[in-house]
Formats: sequence, structure tokens, C-alpha cells
Amino acid sequence: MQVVGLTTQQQVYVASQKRKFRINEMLKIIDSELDYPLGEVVETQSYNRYIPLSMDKSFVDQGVIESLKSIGYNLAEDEINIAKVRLLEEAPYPIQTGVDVDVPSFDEVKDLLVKEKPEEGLVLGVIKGTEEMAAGMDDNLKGIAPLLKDEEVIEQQGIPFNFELKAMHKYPHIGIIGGSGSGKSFGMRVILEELMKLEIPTIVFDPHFEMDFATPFSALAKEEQVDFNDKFAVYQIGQDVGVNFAELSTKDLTDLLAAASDLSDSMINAVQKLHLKRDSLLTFDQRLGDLQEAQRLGQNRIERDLKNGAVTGNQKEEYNNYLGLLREFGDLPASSISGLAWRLGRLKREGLFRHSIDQIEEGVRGRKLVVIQGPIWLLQVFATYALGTLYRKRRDYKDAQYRCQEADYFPPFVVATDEAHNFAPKGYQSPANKIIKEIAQEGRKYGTFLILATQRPTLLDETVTAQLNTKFVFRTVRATDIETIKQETDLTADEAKRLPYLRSGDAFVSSAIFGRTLAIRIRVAKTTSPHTKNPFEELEEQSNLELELLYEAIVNELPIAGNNIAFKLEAINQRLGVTLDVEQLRQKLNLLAEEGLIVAEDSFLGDKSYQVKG
Amino acid sequence: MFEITSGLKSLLKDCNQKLKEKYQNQTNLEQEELRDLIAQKIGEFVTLTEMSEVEIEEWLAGQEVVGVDGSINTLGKNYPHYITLLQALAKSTDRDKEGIIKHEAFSPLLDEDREKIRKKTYKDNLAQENKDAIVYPQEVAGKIKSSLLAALEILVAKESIVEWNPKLIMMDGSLIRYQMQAEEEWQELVELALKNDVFLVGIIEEIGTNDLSKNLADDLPDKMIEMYDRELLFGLLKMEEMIKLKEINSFKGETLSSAFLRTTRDPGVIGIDILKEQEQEIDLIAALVQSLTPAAGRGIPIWLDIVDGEVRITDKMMELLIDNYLEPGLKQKLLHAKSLDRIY
Repeated sequence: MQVVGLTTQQQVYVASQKRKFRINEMLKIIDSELDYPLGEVVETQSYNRYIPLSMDKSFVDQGVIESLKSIGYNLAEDEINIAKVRLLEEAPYPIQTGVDVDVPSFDEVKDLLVKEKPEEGLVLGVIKGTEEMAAGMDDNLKGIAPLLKDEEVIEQQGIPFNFELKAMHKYPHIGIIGGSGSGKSFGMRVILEELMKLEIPTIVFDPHFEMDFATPFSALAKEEQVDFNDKFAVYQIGQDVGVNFAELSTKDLTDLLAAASDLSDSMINAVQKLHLKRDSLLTFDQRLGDLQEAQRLGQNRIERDLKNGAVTGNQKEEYNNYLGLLREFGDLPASSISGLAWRLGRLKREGLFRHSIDQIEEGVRGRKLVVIQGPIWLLQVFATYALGTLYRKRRDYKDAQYRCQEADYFPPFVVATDEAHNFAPKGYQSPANKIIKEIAQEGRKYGTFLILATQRPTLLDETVTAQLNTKFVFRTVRATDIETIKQETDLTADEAKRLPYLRSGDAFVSSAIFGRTLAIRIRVAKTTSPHTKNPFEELEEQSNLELELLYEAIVNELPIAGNNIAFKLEAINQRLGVTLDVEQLRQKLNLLAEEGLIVAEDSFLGDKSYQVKG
Repeated sequence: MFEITSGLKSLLKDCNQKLKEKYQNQTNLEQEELRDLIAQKIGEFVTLTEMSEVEIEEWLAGQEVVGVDGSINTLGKNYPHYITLLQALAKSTDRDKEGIIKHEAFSPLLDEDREKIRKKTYKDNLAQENKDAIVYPQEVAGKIKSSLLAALEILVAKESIVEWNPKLIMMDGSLIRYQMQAEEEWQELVELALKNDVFLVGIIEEIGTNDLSKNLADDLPDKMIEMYDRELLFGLLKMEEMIKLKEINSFKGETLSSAFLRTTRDPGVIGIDILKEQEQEIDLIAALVQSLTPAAGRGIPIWLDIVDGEVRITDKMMELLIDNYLEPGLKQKLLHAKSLDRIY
């Protein structure tokens, strides 16, 4: 290997006849005056001058190449491999052309590539292009990041990529960017697994209901599998966790109601007036209901009924109450009030107010990973509330500590979510926007960190994007997103060009911790998402199951013909647990006959008779 | 003036008409008849079968094939203000063997070369039968250059036999060229090749002979008597077909055997010639040539293209060499052509 052609202080071309270059591999340039600079292959090419690509000139066919080989000359050996190598650090003056190039040994690159002991960092995968150097690696770095290739688990190839978690203190927050199928969720899963390994308290908002770590990945050897069951908990909003209404601020409540369905200005106004401090769900709900009823009755009628004594006792009290409400809130439009009542009803039906976030808090204190699942509309507001509450606890503790006061301990924690552009969108206000932004800007101080995954970085709030000090960039096809990635990371134009072609699970890591972009391959996840079953296969299975049940139900009644079908119907219905009419049963029988489970014959009466097969 | 003048256009149209008349309308001999004629009087049509890899390996029996080619490049335009570099290469198909390469420089500006020119001009003028026709030194210089190149190629071929003892040496161009331009050296090469059982084959890309019409003069229609071989043979042969020439009246004379081959999809043909003493192997050698020629190529074995690519002194290389090793003052005074400074 040799440096050829024009060189600069930043990059050189290296050519070799024998050795093929791998993209992203590290090379050592034997320029003694520059103290043997290291470089990374950023582009590779291979060329054979005897087999040129020419449209107008002749083309060397395979037969001739073979004949040439048999007279002893292998054209393929005339191949020249060329690599564009970017220096890791700019040299003071250009590299000398013609100097040799070598593969560095592990020790020479160790400091650059291994920033953390594997047991103390997040072992997320391998650094690409380091396969050759991995041989001289320390034992504790070997065999810790098996990879996935064509659905099969293969051995670790190359130096492991250990993300230095502790460096988050200096360079907080992680972004995960990539289109669907790029390996983004898979990357998130691996990161979360590693966080569980280190028992870092983590809250995961999971709109896809996929972050469950109970099922080990079956292709993984038994001894490689890890049981995470006591390290995480999954809660669904409304089922297990919810909102403590009494703790809600008016703003929170507005956001919650808005999440159920958009609020008009007058509705917002109404909430602001109606919601009182220390309101419980009961008091607020009742106030809303009463006002609605009062408005329905109308002030005149209420006053009249009170005056002429048409209401007495409890009802009279109620009417007085109505009157009070009307005096206070009567100017609020009735349509807004009923709109609010409907929205509150929807949230109630979701079970949002029946539970609290105590379990989440407990999980965080217990150094667990807490997964919160729910539909995205609900998740957003719930996240606002839950994050606001927990972040406040952490902040209060730290602030007290800064002020040298006593306070309840609350641990630092990590917040992870997919579809982050829904939580902190650019251009419009979303409930969670404020808290996410706050954590993005101040979380470092309080030890609260974000891991935000999105397939649309362009739609993510810019203040938030700017605070993501480490970005994992997976395959991205959309041009606007690639443009955003270029602006927000130190990916070079060459690397950005490769983004649409990355394999699933391959990513660039642009991190202030490493100071430059690394190409990595994510390791195989130790667990698997609960719903990886193909919905079309599921459809097929379900149909087969139904057919089987049907067959079981009718097989003993066969033969069935026109004259006895009505007679048999009842027994069949009973067995199936449904109510078919004669026509429907006939259709089902035809279906079974079509599938070849029973035999249909034309009977002499002009209709069909159904027989047992065989 | 960026448009082609109408005068030039009509001249070309005229030309086209004349050629069309000569070659199309009046070739009143069917291809089949011409084939028959050739088969009867001149040679034998042979269908070539490409050699399989195993056959090639067996035939070579561990020996190799050598390709020989030369290149010539000149800086400067007019006699005597030029310098010519010559280079010849013998390259073995065995990658471990480095090519044998020889160089030569020639310039009428140098005393010894001028002396050569002077002597040969004198000799040629003496030998001239027609005393009115004078042989000029610039012509002689051209001939000397060709001879030098031929001699250089023969030299590397000889050396390759001594050093590698190959099975076959492929030379670029007809062997007759070497025989005529460097007779003494050629004789030595032939003797050496025969002694060591090395086959010599010349591959002729551009056929310039008119052997067919000369030998078929009595049977050809008048209009075809003057035709050159490449004209008569164009489209006559099928792909992978060869005409092996019999003992005919050819200027190649007694020492060489030759054949015409169509190795590619292109309807033009190429020629090969080998030593008379080795003519029993012509079928095999032709088959080998066929095997080594890309079907969509220009007709000659790819090996010669590879050798050619390696030996060629490109204009760029020439320029670099001159700029590096010749003083700029000398270059400007002696060799620089004003036409190179043209702006348009």
C-alpha cells in the first residue's frame, strides 16, 4: 500500500494492487516526518485498466479472460484498489506522496477507539473497518458484541463500540435518527438493554408497544441470553399508571384535555376559570356537570322555581348552588362547557385518573427501566405530567444540594422515547415540548438525560436537536432529513451520500465524546419485540384456526343435505357458539368443501349434499 | 469559418459516388464464387475451433507465451530538428518474469546518427536504377528509424528466448517487416527460434497485401484485379474462419507461411504469418489467436494489446522525459515546433 497522487493536509489517496480496502478501516501512513498519522478510509474504488468500462470500445469477454489465464496471465491481478483516506487529525503539511501505508496494530488505535471498559459503558456494537486490528485486542473486549447477519448470529468482528455513559455528564443526550427498517428501534433496544445492564434508572415512553424485554432472542445461544425480567417494568396508561388529578396545574389540565381533542380559545378560557387549586377529579367534574345542568335549566327558570317554592330540600340547595355557578361562570358559552365535559369524559374512560405515577417513581428509585405504553395522543400529555413531576423531584433534590440544604434523595434518570418529533415538534406547541426542551437544556446540570429517536429529524425542535451531543444516524432516504443531518452532525458529504444505502443495523455515530464520526454496526439485541409476527402470516393462521373449529363443529353432523340442513343447524350453532342461519351455514360448508376438508356432491334434488371426505 | 464549405461537401459526395460504383455495382462476382475460386487456387478454408483452457495448457506444457511490441515517438516536426525515442518490450505471460525492455534514441542532430544517414543516403542513391530519382536524407532517416525499431524488437525477442525459452512469441505486425528492415538480426532470431523450438508468429492488424488478386488475375473480373486483399476479404469469411494460403506467388516469398483470419464479429480480417519451417502448427496457433481475441474487439489477441499498452511511449510521457532531461534552451532552439503554440 502506498500513498499516490496529490496529497493534502487532510486527505490522501492510497493504492494497492494486492489488498482490497474496506470502507471505514483505519490505516497508518508511514510518514516519519509527520509522526505516522492515522487515517480512515472514506471511499474505496477498484479499477482494472484492462477491463475498462467503455461504451464505444471493445469489451473483453469472459472467454478471452479464461484463455489468457490458461496461458498464464490472470487479468484480474491487474486490479488496482484505491482508497480515499481522511486523516484523523489534520497534518501541519501535506503527506509525502509515495510513502508506505500499513495497518495499525490495536495498541496504536486503542486510545482512539476504546474510551471505556465494557463493563462500565454501553457495549452497543462494533466499529466498522477494525476487523484486522481486532486480533491484538485485550481479552475483555472479545466476544462481547455478537452481530446479526442474515437472521443468524455471528461472532463479533472488530473492536467493540463502547459508549462511555459517564461522558454523558459532559456531553448529554443522545439522538437516534433513521427511517423505518433502518434498525433504529433495534438500536434503541440495544441501548436500553445496556442501560439495564448498568441499572441506570430509565423511563421509556413507548408508543409502539414494542419495548418489552421479557422474550429472549431465540437465535442467540442459551449462554448469551440475559434475563432482564427483574430489571424492567411495563405499565400502560390507564391500566397501571395514571394521573393524580389533585396534582394537576391548570396548564397540565388544559394540555390533558387538549390531548383528548383540540381545545378552542373559549374552552381554554373556561378551564382556566373553572379549575381551582386543590380541585380533585370529583370536585372539578361535579362543578363542570353542575354548570352544564345550570346552563341547561337557565337562570330565569332556576330563580323562578326557587321563588315560587317548586323546589325544596336537597334540590333547593342544588338550585342555589346552580345559581352561584351561573353568577360566577354564567358568561362561559354552554357549548364550551359541554365540550370540556365530553373531553374529560374521554380521559376518564381511558382510566387516566384512576391511577398514579407512584409505580413509575418507585421503579426509578429502584434503578429499574420503566416502560410506559399508551396511544401516542395520551402518551404525550402523560409524559408531560410524569416527566414534569419526576424531573421536579430530581431538580429539587439537586437544587437543595447546591444550596447545602437537606432534601429527599431522588436518583438521576434517563428518558427515552421513539417518535420524538411528536413530543418536541418544531414549529408548533405540543404539551411535552416544554419539559423536553427544559431537560434538553438543563438536564445535564441535574443528571437527567434524553434519548430521543425519530425518523424525521427535520420535524424535531431545533433547540432540542442542538442539545443532542451524540447522534446515531441510521439509514435515511428522505433528502430533507439528510440535509438536516448534515447540518446537525459532523458527517461529511461522502458519509451523507452513503446514508440511503446503509444496511439495517449500520449507523454513523457523530459524537462529541469521540470527536469525530464513527461507522458502527449495532450488536444483536438480546431480547426481541413481542410483536414481530408478520400480520399477513397471522391472518392466514387465524383463518386456518377458524376453519378447523368449523370443521370440528360439523363433522359429526355429516352428511348434510338440503332436507336436513335446517334440522342440523341448531346443534351446529350450539357447538360453534354463534348463530348462523341456513344460508350462512351453506356458505360455510361450501368453504370447507373448497378447502378440501369435506366433499360436496350435487344431489338429485338439485341442491348439494355434503359428505365426510374419504 | 466554422461551417464546412459546400465545395468540400460536393467533393466528398463525388468521391463517395465513384467508390460506390467501383465497389458495389461492378463487383459482379458473387461471394460464393469468390470463395470457390480461392478454395481452388489459393488456399484452404478452415473453421477454427477455439482452444479450451485445458488444450492450451497441454500445448504449452508449462512454457509461456511472449508478446513483443515496439513503440516510437518523436518530438519536433521537421528534419533534422527532431528527436525520436524508441522502445521495445518482450513480456512473458508469467507475471514473475519482468519484461525485457530495450531503448534507443535517434536524432539527425547527433553526429553519429547524421553520419549513418549520410552513408545510407549515399548508398541508396548509388543503388538507385533511375538516376533522376534522388533519395533524400529525410526519407533515409525515416527508414533508419523503422529499422532501428525492428532491430530493437528482434533484440528483445532474442533475449526472451535465451532467458525464458517460451513456447511462442507473438510479434506485432508481419514478420516480413522484420525480415526486410533488419535482415541480419532477423536471421539470427530465426536460427535461435528454430534451434530452441520457439514458434514465431506475426499478427497483422492492417493487411496491406494484394496477394489474392495477383494470384487470381486470370479468373477475376477486370474491375477486381486491382483490389487489395482487405477489400476482397471484407465480409467473405465467417466468424472463426481462416484461409490457409498455399504456395503462391507472394512477396513474402519462400520463408514465411501466412493465413487470413476473421476472429471477431467485425467483418474485416487479420493476417498471421509464421516461419515456413513451423507451418505444420499454423492451425493450432491460429486457434490460439482466436481464443485470445475478444469477439467484440478489433481482431488481434488481447495479449498484444496488453504489451502494447505497456510499451507505448505516450506523448505525455515523451514530454515529461524531454522536459526533465533536456535543457529548456536546447529544447526551444532545436525541437520546439511553432505550430504547438497555436491558440486555436
